[in-house]
Amino acid sequence: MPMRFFSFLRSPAAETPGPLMSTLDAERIAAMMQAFGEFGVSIQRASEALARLADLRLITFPEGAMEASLAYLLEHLTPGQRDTFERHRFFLVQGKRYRWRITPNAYGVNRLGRSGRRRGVYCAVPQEPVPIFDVMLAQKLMLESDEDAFLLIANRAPNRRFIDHPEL
Amino acid sequence: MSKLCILDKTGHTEAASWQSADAASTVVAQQTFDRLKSEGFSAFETAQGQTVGVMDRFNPDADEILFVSPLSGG
Repeated sequence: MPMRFFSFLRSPAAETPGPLMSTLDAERIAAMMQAFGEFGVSIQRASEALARLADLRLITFPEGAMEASLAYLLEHLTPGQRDTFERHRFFLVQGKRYRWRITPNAYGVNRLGRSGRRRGVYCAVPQEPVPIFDVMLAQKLMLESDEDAFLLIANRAPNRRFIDHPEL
Repeated sequence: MSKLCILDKTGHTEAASWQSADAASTVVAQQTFDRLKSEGFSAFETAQGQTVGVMDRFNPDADEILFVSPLSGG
């Protein structure tokens, strides 16, 4: 698969890390806080989420880590998952009870209903920072082997109308 | 050849490899497994794209073992 397919994920190693305010101005932060409010997220939780986002932007990975993690993820997908991922940038996982869609976005784990529509939006990530494709692999491993534990651990967006914000 | 890998900042790192018929390499892999478990990592057995399951104990017949730092709500 050509890497340009994932060009939206620029290698953090090639960027100079900086404070959150250098890339997200006050206006955008205000808009994000308003969006959080519309989803029913409290100011405190929204602030915590933005702080984690700032932390993420300060994390740098060694050169080539993103590409290595992508290759490793592809190695660990079934042929069907790989095909879906290459076409849509997400893949589907069958847990014990539910079907899931794993995407490379914030709150990127979606629980799907029988019709395939999104019924819940979740997020759980490894405590040690790893490239995004490793995060997706960790989520897949957890959902396929211990869905109940994932549900206990993960934060769930309180409103089904949660809108994907890949730029976050 | 089976291998034991850790998801980390570099993408992943191979921490051990072993053959079940080779006692020496198996012991080293088991020790690595025990050390990582004691450090709080979660272990998953995988085989050819399929997740076999969570591991509490080392399985010398596993194809691959993946270690991940514990997940927490994001």
